[in-house]
Amino acid sequence: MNKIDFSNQTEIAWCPGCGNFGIHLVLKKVLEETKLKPENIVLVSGIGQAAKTPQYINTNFFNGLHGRSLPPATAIKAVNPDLKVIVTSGDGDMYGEGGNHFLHAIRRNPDITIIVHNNMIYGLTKGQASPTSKKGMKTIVQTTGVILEPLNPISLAISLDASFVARANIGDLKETKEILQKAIYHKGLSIVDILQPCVTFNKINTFEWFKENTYYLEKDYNPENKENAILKALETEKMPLGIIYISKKKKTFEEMQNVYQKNKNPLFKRKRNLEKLKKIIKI
Amino acid sequence: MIKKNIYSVGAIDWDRKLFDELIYLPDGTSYNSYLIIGSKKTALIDTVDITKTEELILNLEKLNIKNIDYIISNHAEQDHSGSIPIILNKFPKAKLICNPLCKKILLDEMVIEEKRIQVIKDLEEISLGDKTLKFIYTPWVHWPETMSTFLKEDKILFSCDFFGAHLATSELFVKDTKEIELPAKRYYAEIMMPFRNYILKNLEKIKEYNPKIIAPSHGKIYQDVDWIIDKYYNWSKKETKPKIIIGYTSMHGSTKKMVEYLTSKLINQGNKVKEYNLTTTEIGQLAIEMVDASTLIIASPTFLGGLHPIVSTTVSTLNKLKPKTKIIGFIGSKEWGGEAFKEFENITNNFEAEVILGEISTGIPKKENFKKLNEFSKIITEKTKELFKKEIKNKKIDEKELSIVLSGEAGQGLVSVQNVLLKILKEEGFYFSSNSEYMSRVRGGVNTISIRLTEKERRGNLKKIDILLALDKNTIEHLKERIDENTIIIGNKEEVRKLGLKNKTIDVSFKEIAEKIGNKVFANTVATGTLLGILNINKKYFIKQLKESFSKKGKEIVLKNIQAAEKGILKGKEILKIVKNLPKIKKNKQIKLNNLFTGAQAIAYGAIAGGCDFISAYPMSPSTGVLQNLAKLRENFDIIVEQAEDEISAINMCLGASFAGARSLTNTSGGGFALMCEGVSLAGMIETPLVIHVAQRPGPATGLPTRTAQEDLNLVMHAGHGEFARIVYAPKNLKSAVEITNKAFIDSQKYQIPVFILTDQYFMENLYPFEKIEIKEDKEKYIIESKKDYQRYAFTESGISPRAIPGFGKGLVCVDSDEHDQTGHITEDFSLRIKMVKKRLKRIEDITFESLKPTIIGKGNEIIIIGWGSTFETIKEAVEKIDNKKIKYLHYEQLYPIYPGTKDLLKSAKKIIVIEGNATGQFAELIKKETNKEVIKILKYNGLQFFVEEVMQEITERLD
Repeated sequence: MNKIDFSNQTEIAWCPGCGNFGIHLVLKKVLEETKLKPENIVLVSGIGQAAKTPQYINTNFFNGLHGRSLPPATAIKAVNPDLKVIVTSGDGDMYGEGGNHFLHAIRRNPDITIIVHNNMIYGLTKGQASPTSKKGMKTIVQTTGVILEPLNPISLAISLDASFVARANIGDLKETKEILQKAIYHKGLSIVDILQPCVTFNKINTFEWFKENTYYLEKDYNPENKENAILKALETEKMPLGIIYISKKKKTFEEMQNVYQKNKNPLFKRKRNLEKLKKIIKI
Repeated sequence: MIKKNIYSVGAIDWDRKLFDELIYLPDGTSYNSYLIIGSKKTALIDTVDITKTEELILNLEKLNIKNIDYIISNHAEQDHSGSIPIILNKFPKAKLICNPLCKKILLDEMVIEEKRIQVIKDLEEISLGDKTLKFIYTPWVHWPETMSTFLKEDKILFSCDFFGAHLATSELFVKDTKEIELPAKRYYAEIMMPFRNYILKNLEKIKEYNPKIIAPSHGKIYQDVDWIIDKYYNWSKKETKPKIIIGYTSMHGSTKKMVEYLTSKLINQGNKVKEYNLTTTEIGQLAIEMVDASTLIIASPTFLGGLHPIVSTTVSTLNKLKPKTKIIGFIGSKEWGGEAFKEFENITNNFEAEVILGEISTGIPKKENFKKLNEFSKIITEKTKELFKKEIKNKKIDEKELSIVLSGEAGQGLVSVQNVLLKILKEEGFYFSSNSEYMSRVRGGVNTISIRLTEKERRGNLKKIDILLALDKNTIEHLKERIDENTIIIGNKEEVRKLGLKNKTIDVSFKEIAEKIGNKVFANTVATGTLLGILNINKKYFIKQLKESFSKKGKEIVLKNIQAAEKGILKGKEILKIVKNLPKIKKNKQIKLNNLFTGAQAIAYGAIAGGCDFISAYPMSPSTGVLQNLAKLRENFDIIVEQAEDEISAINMCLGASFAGARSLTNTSGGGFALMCEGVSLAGMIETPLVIHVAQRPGPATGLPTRTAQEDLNLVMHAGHGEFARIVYAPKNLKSAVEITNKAFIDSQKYQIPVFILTDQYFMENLYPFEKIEIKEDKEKYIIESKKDYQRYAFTESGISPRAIPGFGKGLVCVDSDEHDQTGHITEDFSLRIKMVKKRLKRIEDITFESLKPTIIGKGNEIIIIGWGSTFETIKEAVEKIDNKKIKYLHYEQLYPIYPGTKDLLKSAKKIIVIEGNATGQFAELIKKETNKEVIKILKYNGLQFFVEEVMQEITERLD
C-alpha cells in the first residue's frame, strides 16, 4: 500500500524555530502510520498559532472561532462517528477563551483527541500572558509580572476524570510521537498537553528550560491509579512527562446517543420520511 | 367690493372690548352690512350698531348711493338693526324686509312705521332685476328669528351671526383659515354653542343651496365654505374629543396641590390634559375648550359652606352654554365643613354629563387623599377612554363567543387543566383559541389561561373576559384591567368586593371543595369540571382523560379525581342556573379532525419536517419548549439532542454538526442569542447551513423573562460581525410556523446560510385547533459526494458552491473562519478577498427574488396596516371587525430580505400604520427605509401581546 502523504502546499506562517514545527511533523507521522485516509480525518481548531496547524496538513478541517474548537469537534464526531476527529489548539484557545468547553468536553467524553500546544504565552496577539504562564513573567500587558496562579490542565482534567491525560515535550520528538500515537488510538477523549517554546515571545520557557524542568515517568508507572495520577499532576517544580492518567471504563458521547442504539450509520446516510410525522400531526 | 355690484359697507369696531357686558372681545369686532345693486333694485343686507351709523352712511355715500329699495334685517339684535330707523329715514322709498318674528322684536325695540315693513315667508324670493334674493329661515342661530339671505345668482349666503367671528380687521376675505379658527371658535363657544342641535339642522338646510361664499355679519368672508361648515358640524355633533380640562381656584394652596397631583397622574395615564386657574382665566377661553372637550374637572375650596364664588360664577356661565362635555369631575378641599359638591351638582344641570365626585381633603391633602385622588384619576381616565371605545363597539359585528379565563397560583396544576380541557373542547367540536401567561417563578404568583370559544375561526388575543374562574382568591386583582362590568366572576366574593368590583360574583372556593375530597391539589380538577358543567359538556371524555393521566399514580388518586370532577360538574350546572343568557356556541364536527398543538410544538414539528436531526441549545425562557418537544421526539425521529454548557457552545456545535452532514437547529431567546452572535458570523463565513429559532421576550438584559415582545428584529437582522447573507422569518400563526420552519431548513441548505425563525412568548404558548398543514416532501439532499479535487468554495455563477461533507467522497472538505481561497485555506490575497465577499453576498439577489409576499387582507388602498409575526390573528380580527373599505392589511412573515414588491404594494397608501410589539418601531423603520414614506407606529411594549379591542381602538383613532 502506498504511503499517504499528509503534507500540503500551503505556506507555513510560523516563526523559524517554533515548537509548532515539531508538533506538525509528529502529527503527520502519526497520521501516516494510522493508515487512515485523509478524507476520513477531520482536524478541528479555534484561533491562534497552534490553531493554524490544520491548514498545513492534508485532511478535512474545520477552523472555527477562537476558543470554540471543542463544541464543533464534539458535534462532528456525534453526527458521523466514522470520522477521526483531532483538535489542535493552543493554551490560550483551549484553557482561556475555551475553558468552559474544555470542562464540559471532558464530561461528555467524545472519542476525539485534543492536542494543546502549550507554550505558556500568547503568540498570535504578540506576547501577552496565557492561563499557563508562570507567576512573575513580565509581558507587554503584565508589565510588573503575572500575578495569577497558572492553570494546571493536567490536574484539572484528571479531577474531572478525563479519559486520557498526557503531557509531552516537543523537544523530544520520538517520545512525543509515542504519546500522541497512544492518544489517537485511545477510545474516548484523549488530552495531550505538549510543552513547546515560543521562540519570539517567551524568553523564559525555552527548549532548555523545558528539558531542565521535566522528567519522564518511570516505565512501571500505572496511569490507571487516580490518586497517584493526581499527585503526579500536582508536581510543578519538575513536571512529569508521559501518559499520566487513563480512565478506562467510560462510555463515549457517541455511544450514548440514542440515534446509534439500533443503527450505526452516520446521520447523513439516513433517510428522513414525512410519513412518520404524519402519524403525529395532520399534514 | 366682494364682486361686481356687491359691496361690504359695514363698520369696524376696533375698540369694543365687551359684548353683552360679559363677553370679552380680544380682537374687537365688526358689524358687516352688505349692499347689492341689481339691474332694477338695490338692497342693503343688515345695518350696523347704532354707534357706527355714520360709518355706514359714509360708505354708502362713497358709492354714491341715492336710492335703496330694500333693507333686509336677518336678525333683530341691536348690533345689526341699530341703524335701521336712521337708514329708513334717509332712504324714504326703502322697505324693511324681515320675517314675522323679527318684525315683532323690531317693533318692540325701536320706533319704526309698521307700514314700511314687508314680511316674507321661509324660502320666499325677491327680485332685484338681474339678481334674486332668497330668504332662508335659520332659527336659533342664535335668536328665534334669525334668518339668512341667499343671493342666488352669485351663490352668496349672507348668514348674519351664523358663522360669524368677533374680529376687527381691514381684510375682507379669510386668507388663512388658521388665523380665523380661534376667533370663529370663540364666537361659536360664546354665542352658538347652546343651540348645537338647531345648528346641525340649519347646516343641512343651507347645504342644499350649495353656497360658494359665506358672508357673516361679524368678521371676515369665507370663500372656503366647506372649511367653516365642516368646523360647525364637528363642533355641533355630539361626539367630543378626548381631552380633560381642569379648572380650579385655590385659597391656601390645598386645592392647588391636589390639582397638580391629579394633572400629573392623568398625563401619566396617557390623557391630553389642560389646566386653568379660574382666578386668572378669562371665561371665554374655558368656553372654547368646552366646545369639544370630553371631560371637565373642577376643583374648588369650600367657601362659607359652598363653592368658591369664582368657581360658581364660571361653572354657572358654562352651564348656560350647554357644552357637550360627557364627564364632569369634582374635587376640592375644606377646612371645617360645608357641602360644596351639592351646590356644584345644582349648577351643572344643563350639562348632559355624568358628574363624578372625587376627593375632598380636609386641610392640606395627605397621603390617603392622594391615594384616593389616584383612584379618582383612574376612574376619569377609564371613563374618558370608554367614551371613545363605545363609538367603535357600536360597529361590532354580532358574533357569538365566550371568553373564559382561569387563574391560579403557579404550581396549582393549571397547565394540566389546560391540556385536558382543550382536548375535550376539540373533541366536542368547538372553535377555540387559548393562551397562557405566567410569572417568572416556580411557585406562587399568578398564572392565567385564557380560552375563547367562537363560532367563527377567531384566534385574536381578546381582552374581554366573560367568565373568570379564580382558583385562588389573590389572582383576581391581577386581571383587574381585563374585567369589565359584564364579567362574571366565579371565586371569592369577598375578594371581589374588596377590589371595588361590582361584578356578578358566584362564591365558590375550589380549594375548599378539593380539601373536602381530600387534598387541595384536586382544585384544578374541580375547576375543570365546573367549566364543563357551565358549558354543558358530557363528562365521559373527561373521566377517560383523568383515568389515563392519573393511572400511574394509583387507583385512589384516579377515584379522587373523578370525585372532584363530578363535584365540579354539579357546581357548574348550579352556576348555569344562576347565570342566564350565556351564549350558546355552535359546534362543528370537523374540528375534531384538526391539529391541536402550541407554538413551541409547531416549531419542533416544522423542524422535523425539514429534516432536523441535531439540536443543541441552552434552556432559556420562552424558547425552551422547542428543545423539550424535540427531546420528546428524539427516539422516533433519530435526533441528537444536546443541552450545551452555554449558547456559544450550542451554536458552534450546530455548525460542526451541519459541517458533518446533519441538519441542525439551535434555539434560544434574548441574551442567549446575544451570546450566539459570533457563531452567526461564522456560519456566514464558512457558508454552513443553520436554523436559529429565537423566541423573543422583553429586554434589555434579563428584562421580563416570561413575557412577550417583538424587540429582537434589529438584533437578529444585524447579528454577527461582517457582511453575509441571511433570511429572517416570523411565522404568523401555528400552521404557518410548521410550514415556515420546514422551509427555513430547506432554505438554509439551499443557500448555505443561517436562517432565523423569530417568534415570541405569546406565540410559544398560543394553542388552538387548526387545519391541515401544507408541506411537500423535499427529496433534495443538498449534499454532493466529493471528488478528489473537490473545492468547498469553488466559484460559481450564483455564488453558491456545491457542498460536500467530510467522509462522503474522495475529496477534502476544509472550512475556515479566516478569509480563505476556493479550497478553504487561509489567504490574505486582496483580489481573492473581493471575490469571496462577492460570492458570499451574491445569493442575496436570489433570496430576495424568492422573498415571501405578505399576506393581504382587505382591498382598501388608502390606509395600509402592517404587522409581522405573532400579531397576525389579533390584527386580522381587529381589521375584519372594523370593516372599513379604505383599509388593507399586509402581514409580513419574511422580514429580511423584505418582499421586493413592497414599494408597489404601498404606492397608493395615504397612511401607513405599522403595528408591532416594541418601543421604537423596528419594522416600521424598515418599511420607511424601503418606501421612503411616512409611517405611523402603533406600539406596545408592556410585556403583553396586543389585544383585539386595543388594536381596533388604535386603528380607528387613526382613520380620519
